Amino acid sequence: MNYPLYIRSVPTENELKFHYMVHTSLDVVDEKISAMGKALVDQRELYLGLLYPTEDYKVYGYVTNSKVKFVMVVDSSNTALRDNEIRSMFRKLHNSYTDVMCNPFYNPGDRIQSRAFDGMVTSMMIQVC
Amino acid sequence: SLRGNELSSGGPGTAVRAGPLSIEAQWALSQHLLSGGPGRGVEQPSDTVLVLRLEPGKPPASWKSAWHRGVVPLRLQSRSGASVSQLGLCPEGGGGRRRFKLRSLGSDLLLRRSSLDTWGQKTSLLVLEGMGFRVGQALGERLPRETLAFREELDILKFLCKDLWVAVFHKQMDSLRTNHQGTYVLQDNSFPLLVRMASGLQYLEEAPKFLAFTCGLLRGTLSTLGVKSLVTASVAALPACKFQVVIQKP
Repeated sequence: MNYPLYIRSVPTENELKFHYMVHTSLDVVDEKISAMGKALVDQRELYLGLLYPTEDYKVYGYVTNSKVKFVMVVDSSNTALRDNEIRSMFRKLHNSYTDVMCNPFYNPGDRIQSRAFDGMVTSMMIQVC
Repeated sequence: SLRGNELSSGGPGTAVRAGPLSIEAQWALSQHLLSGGPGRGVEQPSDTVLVLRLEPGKPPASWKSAWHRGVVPLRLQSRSGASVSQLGLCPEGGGGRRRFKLRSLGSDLLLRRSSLDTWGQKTSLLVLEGMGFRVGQALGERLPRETLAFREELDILKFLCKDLWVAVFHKQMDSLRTNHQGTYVLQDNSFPLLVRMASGLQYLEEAPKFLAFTCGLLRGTLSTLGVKSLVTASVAALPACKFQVVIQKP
């Protein structure tokens, strides 16, 4: 059952296009997870790396132990963004999501409406764009 | 002679042996005795079965077996007719042997009282378990480390026994056993919530209240990690307890 707990894009025109890209990338995420499961690697990372490149965009993935998936779509023209920066962004997202989960007034499975979460995403987007 | 709900008294000052009484009768008697003088006590080892012990010392072995069958013999100090009839026990017959027949003393109300208490307790335990569940969900998100650590079910259970237990109780679970078919038994020989309470069989009946939240905690953490389960706890002797986790197949 894959439905978004949170989805946000900037700029806001062509939002649907991003939603569609995120949705199709979920298949790739699932593939990566199952491949990892079969591999005999000791360390199985939460960061999945570049899921697939298109001509305009790069899509990155991240999955938690609770099978919550984070997908990030970045403009290809943004060559300044490096792998470790993407990793740290995912780590911030994961930490903020954990904080949302620990909020007793949040029901797991609901859409995320936390202002703190919004603020963290906004500041990340400002930094990148 | 003793039949059904009858008591027989050998006259004032002598002990009376009574036959099996219905739950209502037992409850009525227990209430009467509680309001009576010193030296009378009521024990309630489990939900609705009462054992009334009025004389010091343990009941004879035959009573214990009767108790397990759901039939409870009583021993009463004989009472004056007046106080006994307050219960709805009406004396009949005369002479040295007096017989009392137990009238239904609004037994509906009495039964409702005892079942209300059970219902109240069951609801409270459910609420506690639910609270533990929500906390477990959050911990299942917060505690696992930075790598995808769980290859299989057993890894998740080991995580519960080590990381979760250490985070919440500052100790590890003492043993984990499984039948490899979805049932796990986690044993803690000195469960921190019980360790300061008693050692042995004292307060055994009170122990479930202190385990309900923890059962929910285990169930919630498992739920976040993708495992649907049913968790129950049992205590044989404080402070050791066992948590049984049964994985529910979807």
